[in-house]
Amino acid sequence: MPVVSDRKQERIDAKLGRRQFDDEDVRATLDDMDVDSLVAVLGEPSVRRVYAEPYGYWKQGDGRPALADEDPAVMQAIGRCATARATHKSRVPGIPVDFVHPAECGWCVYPLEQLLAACDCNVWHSRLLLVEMLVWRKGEERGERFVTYERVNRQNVYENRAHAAYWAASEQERANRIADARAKAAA
Amino acid sequence: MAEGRYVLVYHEDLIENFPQVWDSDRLLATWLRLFALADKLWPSPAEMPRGVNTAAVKQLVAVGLVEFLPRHRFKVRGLDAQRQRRKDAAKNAADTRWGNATGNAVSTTESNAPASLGAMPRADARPRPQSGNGIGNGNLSPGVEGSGEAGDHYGRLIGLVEELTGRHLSGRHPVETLGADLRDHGFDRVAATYHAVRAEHRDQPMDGPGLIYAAHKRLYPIPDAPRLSAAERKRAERAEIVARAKEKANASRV
Repeated sequence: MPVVSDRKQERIDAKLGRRQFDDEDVRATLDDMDVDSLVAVLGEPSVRRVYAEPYGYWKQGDGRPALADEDPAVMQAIGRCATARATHKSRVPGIPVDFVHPAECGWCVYPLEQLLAACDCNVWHSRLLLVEMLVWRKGEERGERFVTYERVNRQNVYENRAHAAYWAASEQERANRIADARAKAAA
Repeated sequence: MAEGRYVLVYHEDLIENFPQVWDSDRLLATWLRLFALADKLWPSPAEMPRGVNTAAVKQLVAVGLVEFLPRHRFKVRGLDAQRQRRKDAAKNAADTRWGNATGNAVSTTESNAPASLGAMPRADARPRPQSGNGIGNGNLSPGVEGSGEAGDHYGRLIGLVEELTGRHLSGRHPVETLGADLRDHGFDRVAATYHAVRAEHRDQPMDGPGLIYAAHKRLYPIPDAPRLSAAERKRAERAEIVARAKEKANASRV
């Protein structure tokens, strides 16, 4: 049944037709739609993706670090060794031992910088998609009337299949794989 | 079902005499709208509607299809003549029907309206209450088919209206409304409604049309639409838009 609004109040679909994305009612209406409906109403969006980035110990073009590994479990073990060292750096001399790093491992002999470089490379290699936004625009970018409507499409997704499979496994399974990696490195 | 209103467009004349209007969608649409409006209000001149395309109107005035009158009024060329012809034809047909033919409608009315029914009833010959008790005996009843009992009810209702108001009932529209209500609701219900309305306003003077229209409103009450608050209305409108978008998405997927 068509709903007739008060004459003084403009209908939402009229504002939607003008892509008045800064209007509260228009945004609320669009928020109620799924992505397919949004595409049907507003057309194809542009896509904006933000990936996790290295922290500065390694950058693309530096070449593969010596300790980098394709196996996410190995990189977890390396990362935990680095974490333990960074955490206990000022308090405990020597190789720290705690829940994260229960015993001396195969990577304890390497300098921290090499471990962090491998971890940074792993961040890039894992292709961790922090957020994928669908963006519908109106007006000239940087113009006065430029407004967008954005919808998060995907979030915190590993595009690297090995990493996606690793993080899809149970916590126990992940712990077992890390223990295996440590054992292999120690051997 | 009642027929809708119509206007008569002599399109061959229009094409021949005003080809520029016929060929322009804008001019033709503007002219037709003005024509329909003027026809509705004929014989009074119509007022120029606010949203009219002024450029188109100027062109229509320039070619002579529309004439400006004082106080934003206008006339459409040919409407007076056309309506007068229709009026004359109807008058002649009625005269023929009631044995008083003088005009050019004889040929059209002879076949289906034998001129042997006596004199045409006039307004003052309409059924009247016989003795102030609301009982009439006529059968001239717009909106009421046939005669006999229906016509008798019609006369009785008019008598009732005049009795309840103490005034002579005049005017075509009130009488037609009365006839339509009688046809749709029956004598007893309409009469009871007239009594009820009059009882409600017993301390006020009331004329026939007032009584008939008030009763008509009561017989056809406007249903209470659900009253929505502004927020509810917005929510409903949003839901409607979302549903439409979903349908569109499904259709494009298919």
